[in-house]
Amino acid sequence: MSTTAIISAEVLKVLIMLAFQELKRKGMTAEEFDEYARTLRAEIDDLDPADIPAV
Amino acid sequence: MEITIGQFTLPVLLTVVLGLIYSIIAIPNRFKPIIAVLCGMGLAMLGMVYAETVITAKIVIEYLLAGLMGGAAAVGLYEIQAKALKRKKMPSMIIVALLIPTFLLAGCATFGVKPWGERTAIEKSVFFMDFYKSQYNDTMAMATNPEITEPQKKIVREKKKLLFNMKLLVRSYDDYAKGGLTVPDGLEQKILDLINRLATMGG
Repeated sequence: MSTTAIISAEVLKVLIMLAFQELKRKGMTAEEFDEYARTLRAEIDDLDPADIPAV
Repeated sequence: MEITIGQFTLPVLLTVVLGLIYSIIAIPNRFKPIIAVLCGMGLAMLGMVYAETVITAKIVIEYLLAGLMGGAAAVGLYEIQAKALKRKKMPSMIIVALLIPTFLLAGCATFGVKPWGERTAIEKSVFFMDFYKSQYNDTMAMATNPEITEPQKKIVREKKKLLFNMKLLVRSYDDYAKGGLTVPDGLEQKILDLINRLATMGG
């Protein structure tokens, strides 16, 4: 696959992901949103870019 | 810089509608762009009547300009689609076929959602964290793929560098947001710049 094709696919993926995130958040109550934010914070702390293997 | 992917919905919808109209009614090519722009402006006017309670000259001009640009973008999309179909270039057709539902989905998802400028700091923070998480998972999946290609390796290396910066900025932003403190000037813009880079350099 060429770099252009990979980038096009990646951009599409990002757009779809953004759209799904918006849909997900739209249906939440204030309490659900707070809980979601707390869970997300905890998850982010565990996601260290240093863990991504060097290629 | 605002992220409003829903703004592309009008041109995409117009492209679909115009494609249907042009396939049913034989319209000379020179009139097609004018019809598209007029349709865009007409739809923008309908949108204005639906969305605005007070209509001023400024608002009318803003909607007309948005409709004009939407119509012009639809002409561009229609031309790309027509060329791809004419040349039977499958990759182009696939990209166009994927783009249309994607933007429609994006448009539906952002319909009724607060504009970026009206969101609270915590709402923005959640958006940033969501974005970071998805980009991290994406990069990790690519990096651990045993069949990774050279172009993908290059993307992984670039994304990894950006993710280091992004994590620091996103966590910092969230600390201000959840503490109810004023977010320093420029912090949000720095994160949005990183998002733009991550989204356009291949994820």
